[in-house]
Amino acid sequence: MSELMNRPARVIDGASRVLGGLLVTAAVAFLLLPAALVLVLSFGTGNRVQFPPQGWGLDRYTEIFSSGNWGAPTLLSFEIAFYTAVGALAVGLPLVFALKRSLLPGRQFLEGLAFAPIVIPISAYAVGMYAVFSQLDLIGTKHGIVIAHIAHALPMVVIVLSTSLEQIKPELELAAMTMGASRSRAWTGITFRLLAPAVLSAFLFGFISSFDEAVFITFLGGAGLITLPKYIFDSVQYAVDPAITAMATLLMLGVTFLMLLGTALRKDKK
Amino acid sequence: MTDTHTTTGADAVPSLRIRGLSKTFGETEVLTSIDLDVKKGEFLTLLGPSGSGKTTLLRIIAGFETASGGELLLDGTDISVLKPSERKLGMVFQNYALFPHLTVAENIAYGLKVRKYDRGALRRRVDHMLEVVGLGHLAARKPTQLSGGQQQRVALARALAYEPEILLMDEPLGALDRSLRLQMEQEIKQVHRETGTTVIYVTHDQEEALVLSDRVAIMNQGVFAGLDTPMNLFTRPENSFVARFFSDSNVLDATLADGLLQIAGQEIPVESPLHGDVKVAVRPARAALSTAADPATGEGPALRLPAVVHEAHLLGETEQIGLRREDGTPFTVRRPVGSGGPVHEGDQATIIVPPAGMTVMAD
Ligand SMILES: Nc1ncnc2c1ncn2[C@@H]1O[C@H](COP(=O)(O)OP(=O)(O)OP(=O)(O)O)[C@@H](O)[C@H]1O
Ligand SMILES: [Mg+2]
Repeated sequence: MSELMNRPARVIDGASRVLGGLLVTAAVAFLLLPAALVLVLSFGTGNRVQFPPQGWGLDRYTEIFSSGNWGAPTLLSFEIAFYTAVGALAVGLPLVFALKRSLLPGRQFLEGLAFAPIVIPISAYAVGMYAVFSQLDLIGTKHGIVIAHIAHALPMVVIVLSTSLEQIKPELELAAMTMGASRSRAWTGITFRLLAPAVLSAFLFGFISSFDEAVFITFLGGAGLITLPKYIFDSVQYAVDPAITAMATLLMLGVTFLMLLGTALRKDKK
Repeated sequence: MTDTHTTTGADAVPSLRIRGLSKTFGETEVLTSIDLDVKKGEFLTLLGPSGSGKTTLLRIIAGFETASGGELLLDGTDISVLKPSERKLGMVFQNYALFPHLTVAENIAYGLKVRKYDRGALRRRVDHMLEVVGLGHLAARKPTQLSGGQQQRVALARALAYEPEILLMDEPLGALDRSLRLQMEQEIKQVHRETGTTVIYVTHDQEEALVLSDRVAIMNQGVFAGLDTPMNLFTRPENSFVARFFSDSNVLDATLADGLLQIAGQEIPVESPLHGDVKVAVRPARAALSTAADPATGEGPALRLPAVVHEAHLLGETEQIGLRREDGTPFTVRRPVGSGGPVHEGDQATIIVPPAGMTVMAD
C-alpha cells in the first residue's frame, strides 16, 4: 500500500530533479559560456575574431603590451579606481558608524540615501549627473568621474562595512575602556582592528566597481577621458580589434581575483 | 561572610557611596534617588525584575552613562566626572565581550598592557589569573574555541587581572545552562573569597542572589524596595514587594490594633509596633494544610483559611500546592514531599498559619 502511494511521488521527484538539473546547467552555461569563449578566443591568432580560431598563440597578449594603445586607458582606470575606492571609504566609514553606532536623528534617511544608487536606473542616474556636472564644469574631468564612481560604489561599500560592524559588539569597546584604555586606543585596538578586513574588502569592491564601469564614463567623460572599459567599447564600435579578447580575459581574471580576495576577507572576519 | 578578606560589619569602610542618584531617559525616570553604600570586599547584588533599572545603575557606576543627578564617590572621591578608563573598575558583561582577535592570555593581559606593566610582572600576573580560573591549559586559544563557561572564566580573569577597586558584573551567568550556572556560582564565590574584591553583581535570579551575596538590593521601578542580607530579606521582608519577589511569600491584608491582628475575621496575637492597615507575609513553607483525608492537628492559636486546591506539583524535594481562598485570592503552600496526604485539584482544604509564620509589614 505504502509502496504504491510512494511510487508516483518518487517519479515526480525524479523528473523534477532532472528538470532542475538541466535548468541549473543551462543557467551556468549561459553565464559562463561567453566568458569561456572570450578566454578561448584570446589564445587565437589572425587578424579577425572567429571561432574556431585560425591558429593558436599568444599574439593577442603580446599585442596588448606592445601596441601602446592600451597603456594609457589602463593607467587611467587604475588611477580613477584607486581614488574611487579611497573616496568611497572616506564617505562610507563615517557613514556606517553614524548609522550603526550613533543616535543621530534621521539616520534611516541617510541609509536610504546611501542605497539610492542601487534603485535608480544607472542611465537615468548618469543623465541626471550630466545635468549637474555640466553646471559645475565637471564634465570630462577626472575628479568628476571619481565623484560619480564614489556614488556608484557607495552602496556596496556600506553593505560590506555595516554587516561587519554589526558583528562587532559595542561592549568590546566598553570592556577595553573599563580596563583603562582611552577611547581612541579602544577604538583603534579593538573596533577598527576587527573591522580592518572589511575595510580592505570594501576597498576592493569599490575599486572593482569603478574599474569595471562603462556607463558613467560614457556620459560624463567627455572626449578626453578614456578608461579601459570605454576604450573597449569605442574600439568595438568601429572594428573589432582582436586584442580585445586578451584584454577582456585579463580584466576578467583580475576582477575575479579581487572579488575572491574581497569575499575571503569578509569571511575571515567571522 | 566571616572570611578573612571581607568585612561587612557596621564599621567597615564604604568603598562606593551613592547618594540621591537619579536617571531619566527623555521623559521617563528610570532611577529615582538611589542611596547605596557598598563596603570594601562586600559582595552586593542588585536583584530586580526586568526593566527595574539594574543595568542602568551599573552602567552609571561604570561611566558608560551619566546620571541625571546625585553623587557617586569611590573611596571618598567623586568619580562621576571621570571617564570609564579612569575609574579603576572591572566589568564582566553578559555576552562576555572577549576580544575575538586575541588569545585567552592576551585578553587577560589587555588591562595590564594598557597600564604598562613590565613584561615580567605582566607574565606573572596573567599566569596567576589563569591559575585562579583554572584555564592555564587554554592560554593560547582564541575565545571562539572555548565553551560558554570557559569564556565566562576568561572574562572574570580579565576583569580582575589589574586588581580593580570594584568588580561589576551584569548577569554574567544569564547565557549558561542551569548546571553550569550552579558550578560558576561556586567559582565566582571562590574567586571573590580569594581576591577580596568588592563586587556589585546584577541578576534577576533570586537563587543566584541568595547563594552569592553578602547583601542584596532589591530593585523595583528605579528604587530600592529592600536592601539587606539575604537572611533578613528572606525572613523579615520590609514590604510586600520584597516578600513576594524574594521569598515567593503570600501577602494578606489585615488590620492591627494593640498587638492583635484582625485577619480574615480572626484575631491572632502578634508582636509588632505597627498600627492600622497592614500586610502580612507568609512564606509558602510556613503554612500547613489540613484536608478531610489528612486533618492536621494545629496546636495553639493559628490562622485558619478555608481554600480549594487549584494545582499541585513537585519542585524536587518539596511539593508546591496552589490554592484559591474563598474570595478567590491565590495562596501557595510548600511542604516536603510525602509530609502530608495526597491532594487533588478541587479538594477542600484549610490553610493553617501559626503566628510565628507571619511577618507584619506596613505596606
Ligand atoms: N538608552 C535608553 N533610552 C531609553 N530608555 C532606556 C535606555 N536604557 C534603558 N532604558 C529603560 O530604562 C529602564 C531600565 O532599564 P535597565 O536596562 O536598567 O533594566 P534592567 O533592570 O537591567 O532589566 P533587565 O533585567 O531586563 O536587564 C527600562 O524601562 C528601559 O526601557
Ligand atoms: Mg539588564
